[in-house]
Amino acid sequence: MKLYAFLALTILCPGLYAHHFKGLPHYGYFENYPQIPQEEFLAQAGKYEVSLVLYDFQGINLEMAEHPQVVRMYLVIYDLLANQAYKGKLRMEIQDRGATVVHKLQEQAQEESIYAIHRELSDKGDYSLLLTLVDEKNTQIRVPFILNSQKVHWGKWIVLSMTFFLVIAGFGARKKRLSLDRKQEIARVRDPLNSREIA
Amino acid sequence: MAVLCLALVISGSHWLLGRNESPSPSKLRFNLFRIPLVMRCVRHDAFPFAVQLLSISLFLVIILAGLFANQRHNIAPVLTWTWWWALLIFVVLFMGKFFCMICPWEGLTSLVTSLSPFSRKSRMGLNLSWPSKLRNVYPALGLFILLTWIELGFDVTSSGTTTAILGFGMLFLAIICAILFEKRSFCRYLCPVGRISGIYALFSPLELRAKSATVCADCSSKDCLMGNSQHRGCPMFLNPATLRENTYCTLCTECVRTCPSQNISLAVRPFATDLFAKNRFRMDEAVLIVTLLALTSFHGITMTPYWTRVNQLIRVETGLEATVIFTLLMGMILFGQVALFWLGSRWSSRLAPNGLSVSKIFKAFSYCVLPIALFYHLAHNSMHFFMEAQELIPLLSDPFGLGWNLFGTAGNSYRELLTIEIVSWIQVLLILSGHLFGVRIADRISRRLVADPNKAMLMLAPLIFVMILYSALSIFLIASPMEMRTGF
Repeated sequence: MKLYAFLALTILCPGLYAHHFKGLPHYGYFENYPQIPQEEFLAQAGKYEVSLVLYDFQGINLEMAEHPQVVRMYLVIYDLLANQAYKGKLRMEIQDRGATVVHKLQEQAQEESIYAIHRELSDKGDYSLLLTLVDEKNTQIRVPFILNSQKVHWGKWIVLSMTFFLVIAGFGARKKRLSLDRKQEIARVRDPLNSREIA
Repeated sequence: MAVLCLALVISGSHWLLGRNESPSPSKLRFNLFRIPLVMRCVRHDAFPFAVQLLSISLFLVIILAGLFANQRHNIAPVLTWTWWWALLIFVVLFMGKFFCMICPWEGLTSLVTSLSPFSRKSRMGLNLSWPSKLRNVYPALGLFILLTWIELGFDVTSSGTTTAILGFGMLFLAIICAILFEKRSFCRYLCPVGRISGIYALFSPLELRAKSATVCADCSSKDCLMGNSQHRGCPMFLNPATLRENTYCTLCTECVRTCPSQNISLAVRPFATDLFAKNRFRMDEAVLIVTLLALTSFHGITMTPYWTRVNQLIRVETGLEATVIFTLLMGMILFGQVALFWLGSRWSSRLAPNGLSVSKIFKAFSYCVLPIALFYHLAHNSMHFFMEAQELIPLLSDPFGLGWNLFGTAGNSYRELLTIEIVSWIQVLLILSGHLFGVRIADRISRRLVADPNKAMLMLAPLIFVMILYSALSIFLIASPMEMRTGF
């Protein structure tokens, strides 16, 4: 009885669900925003943090894309102290081993505070993106990045190494067990009364 | 306002529920082995492999997808972190150590070491004894803290490759332990999933026990313990005849196949039976429970915008690397929550009659924090599952991102399974249920330690206050906006 009274009191408490709407988008989020990219490149200079996301066509059907060889870069620059994005004038330079490959001046951020630059890039380069925040006393931030085709896929090598080690260990363990079993059998044959288990 | 209201309700719960009765632990049981088909299946030699086949297959899919498939469109993270990790706690709540029964790591390890899918007797290995100083849950707890640090610090949950490496790494550890050590030392002492589900399984309504103590006493062969020519003895270093708790039993059912008298039962019982009957307390389990509570709430904390903000400010002010800041904050939050319970225990010790020590109170009353940890874990995971599980539907049609469309769902997006309003009410009810159980268990334990009910209540007061703080934190976290790990 007391348990039911308690549960009734609980249900009469002020609703909490309203608080859950804070921070969550409401309208058609899943339809309008497909799967977010998995990797971002981060850099920080003073109070600014840069998040750079590349689309160099991992997983998207190349046949359906308009310019399949172009690498698309999208970045957001965040003021960590003011807790807001930078939206002013930005100069972007893609550099390969320090030499500028392409540059672009964007007068202001696009929707959702995004800056964008696109360029066909070879997979032999050593790339970084040099940003100059023109409206913030020309503050510069460098963001090194690599293309998906340049990445070393360590996962397969790690798993292969572990598998190889397990195979070696397995063979060794089997051999050791056969040897222990043989010793135990010999001991049992020689002295059945006093023979003890060899671990 | 909501937190304050609930805190008041929770603090009144202790008096609402009353403290007049002191019932003995429930004897209500239904033995599933009374169903002949169930008994026949479990006693079959192929049973362990048969139940593990599906989980082994799914595990291999996760490894293949994580390592070789398209990383942008990959089933591995969703299947692992949104489905398996989220649902695991629900499985433990209702079915105890069922996951251990179907564990793919144990299945593959047995296949490798027994060189057979049906025999569980190891045909390789050194059979060394696990080091005596490590015969506790601390190794598993340490590994769990490490895995949590990796998972949250390096965003493993969105990466197929790292998910696959972690999964394969656990298999690697399991096989190496099976090769070096006797029986299932990995499961008993090192597996974090097993130890966590084991401690949570004290709450579950499923148990594997001997039916009749007399039959066990009259048995001379003790096959369940020593094994026989066909089957091995209990691989978890337990004596099925005297088993009283779920913590270390993995439901491998080896004893069921081994027992010549068919004296083992798999019974359904009331929730939290083991906790209500608890009268032996271990420090390693106590530390595990309190740290588990800290870790689960830490998971929630890292998803709030407050966490992001604090990190940002520290990064700007100190210039330290994000990983360093994360590690320091993680250490502080974990230590803080464990220290809070220790301080509560210390305060209780001062109020306790007959000189009960701080460590004894810490050990004993940590078990009443277990439902709070379990139900917050359930609340947190229910948010992940009901808000994110639909991501699996398009991935089932194209699990490796190769452009397939096996079931016609590829490329589609689907609404969440439940709306946020319903999920939030589920979460609130879960947290309150956990708190209620915690208060009842604390009451029972206090009666065992102190005969006088009024003195027991006085001793309990500081710990009830700490439990209210933990539950209030849980309510605060579920009421906070969350930065989800997929799709947001």
